[in-house]
Amino acid sequence: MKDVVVIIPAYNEEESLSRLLPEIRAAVPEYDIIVINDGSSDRTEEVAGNAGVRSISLPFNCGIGAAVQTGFRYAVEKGYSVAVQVDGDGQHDPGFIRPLVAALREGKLDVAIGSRFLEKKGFQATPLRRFGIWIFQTVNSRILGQTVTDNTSGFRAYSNRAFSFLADDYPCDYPEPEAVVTLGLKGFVIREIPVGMRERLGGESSIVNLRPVYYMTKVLLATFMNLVRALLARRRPA
Amino acid sequence: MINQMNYISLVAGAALLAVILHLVRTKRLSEKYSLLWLFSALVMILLSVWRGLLDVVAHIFGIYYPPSFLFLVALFLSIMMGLHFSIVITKLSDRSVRMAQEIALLKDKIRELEGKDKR
Repeated sequence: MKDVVVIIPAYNEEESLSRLLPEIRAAVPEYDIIVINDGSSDRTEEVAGNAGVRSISLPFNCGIGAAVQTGFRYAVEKGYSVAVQVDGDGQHDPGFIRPLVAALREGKLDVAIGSRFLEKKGFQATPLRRFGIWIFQTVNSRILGQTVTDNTSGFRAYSNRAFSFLADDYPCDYPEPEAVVTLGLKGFVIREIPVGMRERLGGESSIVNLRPVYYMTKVLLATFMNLVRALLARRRPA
Repeated sequence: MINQMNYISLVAGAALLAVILHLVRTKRLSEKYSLLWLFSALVMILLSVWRGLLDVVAHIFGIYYPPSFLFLVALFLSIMMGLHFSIVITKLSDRSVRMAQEIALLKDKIRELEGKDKR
């Protein structure tokens, strides 16, 4: 079984990737890196190639969830034991990739989530976003009976068991908070690890205008549906 | 007694039926997805022509002016149609994403195999 693959979803991230990829290379030289180019219209694929990083290009923009899922499916096919997701915008400090993987292995976890709120170091997001994040924290922690502070964090390490599950079942857009609940309810072991995050290195966030309203509503509905499904599944065998 | 309302819905229903059959004949609408439309058109025509049926059903629903029941039926059928399309679109978009992923992975695999050939 191969060791660790770093999955980087990227949609029009030529600017930040040109700085991020060498950083990751330097931080974890023995890990494989794969950029999932989500139908970018800029030079994302070329930038990856120039940095000597393998890239897989979706034929059109499918959403970050679909991009990451492509990475999971790649990891399943190649038989990696650990997959780490690092967002292409450069907000995730590559220096924390190794601690995430170490925590996953030492703790025999299925999911290690990099949380920017455990030690409150680095970029803490804008107040409005923190409010949204607080809602997810309240809802998800309540459902799982375990405090999860940074549900929107896409900085995560997954065990083979966990990403194999997600390779078949992962939301297309805004997947992070929902996946925490799905995995938690399925009995996967989740723990948060303190990480520092930065402001994006370039490009633009996808969560603008009315999207936050859609984001919150969609994710909370999906979370609720997950809960209902789990409750029904639990009742059926009895 | 047949009033204008019934004529209008009869003509509309017949026109809809004709258009649907034409679309199916020219293969621009598949038989599968035409069924719900055909059913709608036939219900509209039936209710327009058979005034007795319209009166009875309207009465059951507590509607004093039977032709307005036609609106209710049309609205209900439109909502069903819209819901049907949303379900179909969901299935199609799930499949197109899965297909895009598959294509991306296969393209990567082809590149890998071609690279090995050269060596």
